[in-house]
Amino acid sequence: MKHKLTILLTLMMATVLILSACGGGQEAPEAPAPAEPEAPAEPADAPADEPVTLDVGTTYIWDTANPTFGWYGYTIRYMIYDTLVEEMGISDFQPGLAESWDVSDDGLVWTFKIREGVKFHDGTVCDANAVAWSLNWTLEQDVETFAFYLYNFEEIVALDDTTLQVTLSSPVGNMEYLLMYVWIMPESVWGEMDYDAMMEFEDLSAAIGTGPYILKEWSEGEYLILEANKDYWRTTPVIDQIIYHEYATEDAVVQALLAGEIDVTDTDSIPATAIQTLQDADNVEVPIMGSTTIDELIINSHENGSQPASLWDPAVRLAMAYGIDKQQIVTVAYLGYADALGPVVPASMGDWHNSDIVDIPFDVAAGNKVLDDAGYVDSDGDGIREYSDGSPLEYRFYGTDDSTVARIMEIIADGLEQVGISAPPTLMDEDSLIALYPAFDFDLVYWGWGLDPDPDFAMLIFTCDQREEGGWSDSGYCDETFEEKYVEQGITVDHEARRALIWEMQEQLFNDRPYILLTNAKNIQAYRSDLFTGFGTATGDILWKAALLQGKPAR
Amino acid sequence: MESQNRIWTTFRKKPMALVGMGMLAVALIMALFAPLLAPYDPNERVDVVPSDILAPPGEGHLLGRDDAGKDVLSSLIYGARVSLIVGFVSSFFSMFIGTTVGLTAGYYGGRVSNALMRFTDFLMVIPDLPLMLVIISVWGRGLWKIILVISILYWTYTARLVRSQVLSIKERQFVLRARALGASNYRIIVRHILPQVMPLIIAQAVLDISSSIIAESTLSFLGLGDPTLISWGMMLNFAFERAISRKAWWFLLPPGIAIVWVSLAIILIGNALEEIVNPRLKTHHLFNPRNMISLMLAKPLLVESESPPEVTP
Repeated sequence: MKHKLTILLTLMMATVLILSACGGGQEAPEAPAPAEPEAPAEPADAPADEPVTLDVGTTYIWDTANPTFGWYGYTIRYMIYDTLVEEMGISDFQPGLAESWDVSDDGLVWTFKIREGVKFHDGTVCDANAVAWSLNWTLEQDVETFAFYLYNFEEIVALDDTTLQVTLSSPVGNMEYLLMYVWIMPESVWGEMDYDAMMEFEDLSAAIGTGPYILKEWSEGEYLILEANKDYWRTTPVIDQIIYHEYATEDAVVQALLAGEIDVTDTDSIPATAIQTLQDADNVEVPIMGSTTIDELIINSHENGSQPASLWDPAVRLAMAYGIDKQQIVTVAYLGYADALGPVVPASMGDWHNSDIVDIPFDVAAGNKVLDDAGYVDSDGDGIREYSDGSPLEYRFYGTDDSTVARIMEIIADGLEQVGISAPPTLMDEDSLIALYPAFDFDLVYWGWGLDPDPDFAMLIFTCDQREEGGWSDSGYCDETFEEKYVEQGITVDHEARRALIWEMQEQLFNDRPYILLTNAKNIQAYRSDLFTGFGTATGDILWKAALLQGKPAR
Repeated sequence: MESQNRIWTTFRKKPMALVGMGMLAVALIMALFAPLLAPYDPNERVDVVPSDILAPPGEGHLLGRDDAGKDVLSSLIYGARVSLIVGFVSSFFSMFIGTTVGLTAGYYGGRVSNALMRFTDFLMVIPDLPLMLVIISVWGRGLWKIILVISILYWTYTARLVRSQVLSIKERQFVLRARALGASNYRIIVRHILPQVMPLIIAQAVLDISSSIIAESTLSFLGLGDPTLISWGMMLNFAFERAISRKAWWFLLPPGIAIVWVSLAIILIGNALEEIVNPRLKTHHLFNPRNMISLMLAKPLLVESESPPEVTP
């Protein structure tokens, strides 16, 4: 009897194993498709007109509904909250809660005319007084996710219900940008909270704003439901409901779109290798849009970092630049849907991009010559050159554990080897990588991120203060001249003068090489063109508020 | 010497064992002569254009190209090296640890045995895969680290097997005689007991090779292998993450089939050896659950009911 049971158990397990192994290829990615959110799509008392629901597929929704410490889900937050000025595209904006604005001759006093009749999702009024409260609260609480944009706001007062006056400590040339990501939040929710309570607040009411969509439901790791705000001041949203579905892998998002489970994919949610398949599919539109995403090789430039002395030599850095085949990265990692990048500000940023910089080409012979001339020779014949102190040009090279990242790092390492530099890739999870940062305990890191629509942030991360705990510096770069120019561009009001400064700063970074820039990838999304149409593409993200509000059902 | 001859004679008569030997020989030849057999060197950089990425099988590339534009067949051939090295080396290490623990526990008995066997049980009840994942994420990646992890987790079954055999052998006349003649414990263990259990250990070690290969593939597939080394598991990892939506079966299937091929070969050989050296199995020749289990990497589950009895009369 016992023996039979054992046999049965074994057979069952074998069957399960074989089934799961066979199905692993196709069924596994579909498994996480959440079934729950379908329910609210058909309310019991459905009106004659079916509500329009847009199903979005993503690999990550967000970390928390609380924007005071939530770093992810900006597309969703942009639909929930309003800002005084709204981002329309790269270096492009439109009035938001502020209808118009004016600046005094000395550039210090800004007067905003605030829109009338705007209400928060909970019904409280959002006039100039509420906006003033929200901005002051942001500064008082020093909200880590966006208070830094208001770094030189001295005094914020509401003169009457529709007029807001801001006094600055120094003039700024990019006021619109500074206000683009500062959410206007209601006193009714946040007024009573102290800092600690704010940082622990996880209730969905944290997502009460004045935007076109209201957060209805969120199940971590599964789905998120947004419902149209019928009282939205600009227009009544055509799409009644937006449901975000979270999938485990990018491939699963692609399969979900092909299977009709979702109508549109989020940014960064489909792999380049799937583009061909999607383009060939019926009724699927695949807009390919410019983006401000940059990929770079970070060279540790912190004077207290643990990198070897040879990494400070400009010749070594230049030889590295010669050794990296950016075009190969564009081909293998992005299948051509990216551009090789020289300066830190990509061409998609319009005239902020320094087009005078001629990028270092992939040229192994030139790279070898630079190192030969600088006196680096391979004296022991192992293919790796040695520094003057006898130590080989061997560097620790880290990246996050992702197969595309692995391919990119492989190409970089192969190229560096050809100029006599050894940098075998080590993959680790993101947390382990970030943990190396406080001590700047690395030599080279492959990393990527997205620029804000104004070049300020891209320059900010190379300033000395950002190397402090909690700062943005990932290279440890610190230079006096650069520092002065950064301060100057911040107070330069004239666009042309500021652009010239930004260009100079890009050139300095290009020559000092805390970063060797690699690529500027396209943003690729896909949507069901038989179901939806009209999404704007100028924003570089068809789910961005301004783009999404233009979308409508195809029938 | 005589017993070895007997094993080989019996072995030759088992057709499945010979099939297994043949299959393993193919893999070994692939691994040994990879540079001669592979049409391209997968470690060499190639200049590619977007249409080369995941290009389907065609002229010049029998199995098509992978997600980096490299020849799949060449990677498959080179991949045999890592898989076989991990398989053989870690099964050797786990055999060594398992035998040492089993001999010590079985021979000395009492507290020593209790301590060692409770530790063995402890390792057995922890599911292997999660434990391996944790260890690798703490230690970091690398070929030797994977070998080490597999070795220190896969010796438990060998230890139990050896201990139970030793328990019976140490009570036999020739051991008692050796002791009466004043032989040291070390001499008794090495000269008199070890040769008796050796065939069993080797049969078990052979079966362990396939578990180790599958374990390595699993870890690499989950992205915990060394990305700079070409192994079948690593190929599967890249295929799964970058080729599925392109429906590039030519990149996904070959490494999968290769893993099954080698594991099957080794299991066929191991089973035959085991049947020869462990006559007790003959009574169960119709169905031997343990063979199925070694296929599944789930050894600890049924070990209690299937391990040989502690004392053989």
